[in-house]
Amino acid sequence: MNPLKTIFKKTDPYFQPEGRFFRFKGIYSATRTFFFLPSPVTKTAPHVRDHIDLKRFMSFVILALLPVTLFGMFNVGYQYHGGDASTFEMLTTGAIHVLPIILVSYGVGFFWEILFAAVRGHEVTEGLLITGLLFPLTLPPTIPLWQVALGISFGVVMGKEVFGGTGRNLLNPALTARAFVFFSYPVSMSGNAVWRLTAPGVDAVSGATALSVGGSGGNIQEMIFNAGFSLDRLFFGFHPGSIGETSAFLCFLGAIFLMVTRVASFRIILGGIFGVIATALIFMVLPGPTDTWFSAGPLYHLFSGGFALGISFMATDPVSAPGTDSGRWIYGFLIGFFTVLLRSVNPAYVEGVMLSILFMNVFSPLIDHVTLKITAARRIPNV
Amino acid sequence: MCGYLDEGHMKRLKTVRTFQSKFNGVPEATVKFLATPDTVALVPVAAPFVKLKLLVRENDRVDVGTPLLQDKRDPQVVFVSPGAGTVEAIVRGRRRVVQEIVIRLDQKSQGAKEMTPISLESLDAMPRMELIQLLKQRGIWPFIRQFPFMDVPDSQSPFPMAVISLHCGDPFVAAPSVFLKDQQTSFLHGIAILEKLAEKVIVATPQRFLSPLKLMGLAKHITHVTPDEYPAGDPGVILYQIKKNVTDNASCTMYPQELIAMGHFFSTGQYQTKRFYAVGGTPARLPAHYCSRMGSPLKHLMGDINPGTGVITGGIFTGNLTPVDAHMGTGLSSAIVLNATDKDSFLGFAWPGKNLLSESRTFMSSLGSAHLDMDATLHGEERACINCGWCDKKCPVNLLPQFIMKAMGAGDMEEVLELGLLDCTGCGLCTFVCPSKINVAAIMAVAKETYHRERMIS
Repeated sequence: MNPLKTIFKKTDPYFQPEGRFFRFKGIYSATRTFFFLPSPVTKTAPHVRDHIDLKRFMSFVILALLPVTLFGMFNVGYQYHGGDASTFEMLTTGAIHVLPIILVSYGVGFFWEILFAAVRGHEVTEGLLITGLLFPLTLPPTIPLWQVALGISFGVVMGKEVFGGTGRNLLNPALTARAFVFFSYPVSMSGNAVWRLTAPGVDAVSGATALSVGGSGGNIQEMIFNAGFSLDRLFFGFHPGSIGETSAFLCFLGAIFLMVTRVASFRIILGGIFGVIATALIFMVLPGPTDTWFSAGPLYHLFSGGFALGISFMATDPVSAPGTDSGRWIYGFLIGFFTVLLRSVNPAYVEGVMLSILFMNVFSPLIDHVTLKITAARRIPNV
Repeated sequence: MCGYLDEGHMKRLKTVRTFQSKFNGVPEATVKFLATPDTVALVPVAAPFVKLKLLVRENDRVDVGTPLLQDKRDPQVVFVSPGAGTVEAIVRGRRRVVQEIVIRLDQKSQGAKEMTPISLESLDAMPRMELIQLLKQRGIWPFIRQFPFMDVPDSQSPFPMAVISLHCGDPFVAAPSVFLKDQQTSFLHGIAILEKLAEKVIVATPQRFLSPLKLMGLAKHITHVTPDEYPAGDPGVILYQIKKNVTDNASCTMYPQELIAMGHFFSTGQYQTKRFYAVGGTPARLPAHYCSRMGSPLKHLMGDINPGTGVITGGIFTGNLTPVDAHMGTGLSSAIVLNATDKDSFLGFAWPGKNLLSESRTFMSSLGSAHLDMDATLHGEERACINCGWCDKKCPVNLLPQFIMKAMGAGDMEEVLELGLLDCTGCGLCTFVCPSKINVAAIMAVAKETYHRERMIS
């Protein structure tokens, strides 16, 4: 027998209702089911069931996020050394700074998750596996760890647990957490200094992101290019920014993986991309300022900022997205639309993805309501 | 949706949403004839809404066709004995509902005439109400089931359609190429009876049975051809695709073997007590078709089963785990032996899963189309619905099960009906694919039942 199983068998009585550690049953069964996926006999028809379960479902998202996370670490190191170090050195430098953020996020997140599971008497659910990794990826590498802890606490408690846990939340918990940090501690989350980690004592090199370029006359596309953000650099991600957002390439690669395995809705992702392209094209031909992101065109909008990360991993969170197919197209499209709109017409707030997704999260029940009425009206009534 | 085949009269139905994976242990098309069992039983599983009244007691002597149970709502509707002998036991389930009436067979009164045969011509001349009266008296009426609740039908108005599907697509259900053999006369007689009861009779078959049916000379009676996969051949799915208006919802259906039995009774005057059962999974015998009596004991059909396995009767998706000492339910033609012990798998979420059966694309098995093993376990833990929408991607009647479930949870029956609950055929695929392991199909069935009971009271 598997030695781990023997250990679980031995410890099991302590966590039963009459056992000493019954109140920690949540953390025990979460650990146990992580190692040994249970498969009890089904009680009602259909007795045969698919092998897919929520653990596997969620681990596919983690799998898709791994390249993004690893590259995020690498890029933090790359920006720190200015690209002037060995790959290994850059990766370790990045890891030293990024791993604590991830660990704090998971640690504090699981604390709340387990606390609520124990008090409410439900299982520790898998949703936090994603939230706990997604949230750090949306943060700048310079974020203080206590803000990470506060952010994930707000995201898990106010974004999810107050509604009843995974599956019942209205907003994406990771983005709720980010929005909390963003509005509470704007100094750590905006400006030009936070996006690049610098060695102590060294004068900060400007760590401006592509989205902060513009507004000083001239042609925006040339300005972005002259600021050092060529399209391919933006696409592959060797530029300052939030930890996980810089590489549009890896985000879209993850998106393709999730779409092929059908874990994420292709309707949301493609709808979002269409939304950005259509809106950006329309804005380009409309008369408007040529020196702001209003005229930046679809490609710059797609590859810069957090759009790729947001549309691939946050917008596709099925819980906070609409449940109808047509609703998902609309939802994705409008996320793309609002992203470009916010970036273009609001110079005070250059990144629009977070707010557009949260905004559409709020509207997804309404989208569902309308699309459900339309689909229901098409059926031959049966009452 | 419908195109025309070169056969002219047949319409080809297309469902895009079907079950794609392939099971191991599918019964072969060969038939083995079994000796007469010691006992048979009337198991009224097909009548969930009927309030039953017992007409016999233990140790009573009964014949084939003796009424055993009566419907309290309509005392004319009776359920009759599938065998001649003595009532050995009356098995009751929860709330003392009669589950089985077990009859120990004696060999004496086999083959007695039970009714003067009714030829096709005299059937034609028979008034509709008289025919219904006869069907009720002879215990055949409850085998006709009316949409959408699959209850014993209302005899007041003619059915808009009678939808007969020869095979629902479930590979573990008895094949028409087996049970229709040498039964053409009975089958056609049965169809003639339905033609008296319904304005239109639909006879549908999956594509793969078309050539055997042609050989039997039945091709010209087939009106619709469905895809081979489950649940394209489910009568409810067929009705959903061909119905034109609200009134069609009150159509009826019948299991094909019961239709043959009905035709046999009218054309010969004798009850047909033999039935074909498909036995699959991992039984002691070869997975194949077995011919035995109606209401046969499970043990008789599959021999002893291994410890740790269980028997599902009534189809792989819709059937229930049944105790081994029980008898086959009326109308059911499938028994599957599957592993049914609690399990766990080490780091189960992380394996590539080359041999794990799944309709999702998250296992290596989805890259091939190999036949895979299945068991009667959950493969995970129940969680809250995450709105992934995989259930509606499998629904053959285009429902959105997750929204119906949530509306039902909120107690909003109007919304539930508007979303089309009554079109649900209970195929079970929504539950099969659910990654949160929610039994959506059961929730829908409860919703349907609640609504039907409300209607029966008012």
